[in-house]
Parts: sequence; C-alpha cells; structure tokens
Amino acid sequence: ADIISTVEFNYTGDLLATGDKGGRVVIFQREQETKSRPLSRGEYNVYSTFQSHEPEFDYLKSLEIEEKINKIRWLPQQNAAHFLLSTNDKTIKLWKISERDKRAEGYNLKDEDGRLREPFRVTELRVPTLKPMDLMVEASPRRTFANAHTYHINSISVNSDYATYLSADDLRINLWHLEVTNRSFNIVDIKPANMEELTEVITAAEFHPHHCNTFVYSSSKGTIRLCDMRSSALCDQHSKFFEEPEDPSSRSFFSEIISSISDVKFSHSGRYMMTRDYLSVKVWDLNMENRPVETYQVHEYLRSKLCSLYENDCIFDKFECCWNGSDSTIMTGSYNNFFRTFERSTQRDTTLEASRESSKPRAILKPRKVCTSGKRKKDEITVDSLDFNKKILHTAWHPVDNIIAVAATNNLYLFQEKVN
Amino acid sequence: MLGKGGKRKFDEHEDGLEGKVVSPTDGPSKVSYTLQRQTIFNISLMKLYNHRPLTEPSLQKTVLINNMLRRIQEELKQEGSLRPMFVAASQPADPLSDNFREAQPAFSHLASPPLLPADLVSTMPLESCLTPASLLEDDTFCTSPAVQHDGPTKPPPPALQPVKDSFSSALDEIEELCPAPTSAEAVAAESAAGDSKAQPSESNIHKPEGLPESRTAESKLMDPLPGNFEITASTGFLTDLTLDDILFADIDTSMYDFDPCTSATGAASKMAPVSADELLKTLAPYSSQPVTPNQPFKMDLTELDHIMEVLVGS
Repeated sequence: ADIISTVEFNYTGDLLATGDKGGRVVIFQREQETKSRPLSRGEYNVYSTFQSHEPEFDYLKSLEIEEKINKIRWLPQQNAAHFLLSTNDKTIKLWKISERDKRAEGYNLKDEDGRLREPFRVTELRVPTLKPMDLMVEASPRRTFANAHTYHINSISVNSDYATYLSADDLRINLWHLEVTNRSFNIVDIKPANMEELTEVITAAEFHPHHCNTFVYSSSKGTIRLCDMRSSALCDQHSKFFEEPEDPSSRSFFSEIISSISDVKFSHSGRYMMTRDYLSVKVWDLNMENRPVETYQVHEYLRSKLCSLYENDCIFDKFECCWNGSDSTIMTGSYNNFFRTFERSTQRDTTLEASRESSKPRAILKPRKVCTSGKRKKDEITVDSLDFNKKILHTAWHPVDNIIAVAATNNLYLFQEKVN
Repeated sequence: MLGKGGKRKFDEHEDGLEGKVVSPTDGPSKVSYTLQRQTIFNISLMKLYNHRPLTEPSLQKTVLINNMLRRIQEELKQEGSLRPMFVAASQPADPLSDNFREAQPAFSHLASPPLLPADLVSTMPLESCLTPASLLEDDTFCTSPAVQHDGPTKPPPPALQPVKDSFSSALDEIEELCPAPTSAEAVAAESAAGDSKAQPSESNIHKPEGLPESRTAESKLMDPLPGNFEITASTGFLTDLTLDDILFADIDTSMYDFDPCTSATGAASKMAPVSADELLKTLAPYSSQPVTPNQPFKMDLTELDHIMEVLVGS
C-alpha cells in the first residue's frame, strides 16, 4: 500500500475516495443498511480502484513529474455515474466511475467471446438481449486538462455552478470549464516579472460553496485573499484581504514559516472559512478581515522545537483541516498519528490517535494527551517521544453524519460516532 | 567566532559591550541569539544546496528558506553597518544595494543557474559568454530580463536549467583548465558597463595571477562534487551573500563545498573588479590561518605535499 496523499467524501458521503503517492485512486462505498441489521451503521468497502496518473518525465528540465495524487474533488452526481477530478503536480483528469451489471448477449456479427462470426453462418437476424452479470465498476478517464501549469498544482475546487472549476499552483490560478480541455483562463497570477523578487506563493485555493463568482486563495505569508470574478478578468486585485497582525511577543526566526497557510476551507454555510497554519487552526468570518474569530492551538508544544522541526523539514508539512456537516466541529491532524477535533461552541478539544494498537474495531477511541509540563501523568505522551514520521496530514468528514476518514501514512482509518 | 568585544556579564549592564549591540537581546542571551541565527543560517544553506531531488523541488519551501536567509542577511547587514571598515572592500560605491540588485534569481530551477560565491578567486565571469543557449527562454522560464544589461551586470538566465548547468559548467571546466587571460579580459570587456568596465586594467593584471591558483583550487574543489553540476534545487540566493558574507567574519561559510563550476556571472562579474589578492588581504585578519596572496588555499599546499610524497615515496 502506498502513502495516502488525499482523502475526500463525495457530496452524499456514500463514496470516499483516496489518492496515493503511486498515482492510484481507491474508492470506498458505504454499505447500505439492510433490513436484517437495521442498527448497523454502514461500513465502507472497496468499490473501485484505478490508476489515475502515471509518472512522467519532463524532458525540458530533466526532472520527473510525480504521479502522486495531490487532490481529489468529486462532482455532484447528475446521473447514474460518478465523476471526480484528480490531479497530480501538472495534470488534472476527470474520471467517470460507472457500474455495469448487465451484459448484452446474442449479437449478430460476433460470438459470445467476441470473435467475429463467419458471414455464411449468420442465417437470421436476432435482437441482442440484456442478461444480468456480476457488478463491475469501471473507471474511465473522460477529460485530461494538461499543460496549463508551470508550477505544482496544490488545489482544485469545483464551482457551485457545477460547470467550472479552478486549479491553483504556486503562482497562478486557472479557471476551467469541465467540458473544455484545450483552454483555461488565468484568473490569478502572482508571478513577479523578476523571479528574484518572489517572496510569496499560493498555497491553497477554493471556490465559495454558494457564490460562484467568489473564491479565496491563501499564501505562504499567512494571508488570505478573497476575489470576485465579476470585478475583473484577472483577479490580481483582491476584494478582501485577511491577515492577522503578528504578535510581537511570539516573534521568532520561524514566524513566517509557521504562518504559511497549508489549507483553506469554506464552511458549509459559506459564512466562515478555516485556515490551517503550522501550529494552529483559525476560523475567519468573511465579513471581518483584520483577524480570525476563533483560533485553536493544535500542538502549541511544538513552538519550542521549531528549530529541530526546521532542520528535519517537518516544519514544512502541510496539514489539512475540515469541517463537519453542520460546521459545529473542525478537525485537523498532528504528529504521532494524533488528530484533533475542536467543538466550536463549547471550545472543547479532543486528541485522538489513529493506530492499530488503539483502534480495535468497534472500540471507543481513548482521548490522548501530550504532556507539556515537566511531570508526566499516566497515559500522557511527552513531546520528545512523539513520532514525527507518523503524521496525519489528510482527514475528511462525512458531509452529513459523524463519520471521519483519517489517513495515517499508508493506512486509512474510518471512525464514526457511537450511537447508543 | 562571536568576537564583538562583548564581555558576558551576569548583570544587565551594557558596559561590557563595546557599543555594538545590534541584536534584540542583551547580555548572555545575545550570544545565544547569534548562535541560533548562525545555526539557522547554516541549516538553510544546507537545505538549498545539498538537496538533489529527482523531481522539481517545492517552490514554497524554496521561497520560505530564501526568505529566512534574506532576513538573516538583512540583520547581519545592519549589524555590519556598524563596522564600516569591513564593508568598503573593493566594491563600487554602494556594495550592499548593488549586491541585491545584481543578485541572481533565487529560483534558478526555473531559470538561471545557481550562483555560488565559494570560489574567492574566481574572477572570471564565464557565464556571460554563454548567452546563446540561455536566450532561448520561454515566458515560463523567464526570470530576470535577458541580455540587456543596464548598469549592473546580470547574466541572462538559461531556460534549460539542469542541462545548461552541466553544459556551462563543463565549459567552465574546460576554460579553467586552459589558461586564458585573454578570454577573461574579453569577457570582462563584454560584461556590461559599470563595475567591470571601470577597472578593466586592474582585473587584467590580477587575473592571470589569480588564474593559475584558481584553476588548481577549483579543480580541487570540483573533484569531490561531481554531482553539483546539475543542481536544480539550489537557488542563486547566495549571490546576494558573495562578498558581504565573506567579509562578515561572523558567518563561516567555508565549510560548505560550493561548486565553483556553477558559479555564474553574477557573482563572478561582481567580483571581476576585485582581485584575488585584495580579497585575501581583507580576509587575512579574519581567518585563523595566515593567508598570503600567493597561497590562497591551504588545500593547494596539501595537494602539493601529497603529490610530493607520492613522487618521493615511490
């Protein structure tokens, strides 16, 4: 199994897609609750697996293009088939996943095994009939959106008009129509004329869930810009600029690096957005630009370790964050296979661990605690014993129910709320 | 070496410090601040230059590390401005801002080759000869304005980064191995107006002298680092740091084996008017080893010793 690089539920939550470092996409489907087990919550089983991207070689630069899937985004379902967008560093693909449970039999011109029939054997005309067969799930690439990004794609976001989507790389954001692959429109370009002057890159971008003209993009300097596509064709001028003033007392060498935003997500309501930087998660009200309305510390105990984390590159880890269906709780990952949930109204936070040892099926997860002060209590973990190779970067929350998907390196964990 | 003349006193009086407090904190913590800054600086440099990925490095990471280095450099420059005697050197009027303006693009994996200041005696702006291939630049790879120089010399960035590196660095190698004072002269004349033109005679006189030493030195430095020809992750950031960091004794960049073959014009052209001898004289007070102009590198001596041993011993 390869390292999971993205996790995403579809709009109904029945399907869960994961992408991995090897360019593969695995889709899980929730089992329908059956009458015989009415209280059993649906489990997720593998529905389809396919190779989305292959490694490529950029001959111009003599560099490999990784096949790692950076993001998957589902399209809302409009017919029996499911569609999703998956992207690596350079190319976005639209995949159609469809079921086939019938097979046509009785062709005139070919046998059942596909061989052409001898013409003189065809003595009468018959109508092929449909016979049931074992369910087969097929994934086929329907569109390939390529050659529009010089830099590495970090985000894709489907617009609420369900006809367009955006793709963002380090310096540019492009707007695509789902039907058109040979043309995309550049809507944000922050590349300076002189690359020496480059000090800031785009780190994430997302369309507003309801307003199809609005999108946001975050930067490596901890700022978020909201843009309105109605104002101009090239949205280099933002409509709103979100930045929290720096706290001078906590200034360090690493202030800029830890302020770099690794993920931005609108709330389902569209009223708020959430940003994840290295040590915290912030909730912003779209109507207030000068500071976030809520700030949650994910692992503040790492602040004193920033130099080591800079040395081993962990400071550049890009954690994602997600909202639950009702926007009441937010979740993000941490190290040591820990992930954190924050209930916004009660300000209650929980640390849980995604590991085989602590996750027996159907067992309730025990909250974990990292010991920050000297005396370690029982069951607490000290900061120094944290495993920084076990990082949870990708998490997803079911759009309706309290089911969460947590990717821990190459394992996928699914947890659900216990119903009494 | 943190010798700023500061006595580490337990009390908070600044009497022990000779009026050069430039760091945010006083007393003992100032030392640790400088230490930490130096550590982070070293780590950042190593990140940029020791990384040889098969895939394109993360632009975000490169940008953040570059910003870190720039910030530290800014601080050091501010501290350095309190010590004017170090800054003068042989730079033209405003060395600091010149260096920034002339700095190579920091994102060379997108454009120009990385510039490395390591070779102190490299006075040959070789890269400015190698313009033809580099003129083939797409908008996508374009960084600094191409061949037209106005004032500070700026080499055009080649579009084909790693291939160009090995090509240009191979050419460098060949050029270095062949004594070519005339080519150096021609190159010096070719590079745009400004510093190099201002002192062509001086550079001509000193270059031949500097050449033989630089040749052996560079070939020495080259040998252990064959792979550096294709630095793609590295950036040209260090061109900002060329003379300034060498002159600021606090920063000890000598431990890094920078590949002299990929040192492109920016650094070289800036150093064109500076002779090797002058540099070494400036450096002499700051290095622990006595350095004489005609023996710039101890490595030369050890190599010669080694050769002598082999010859005599056999």
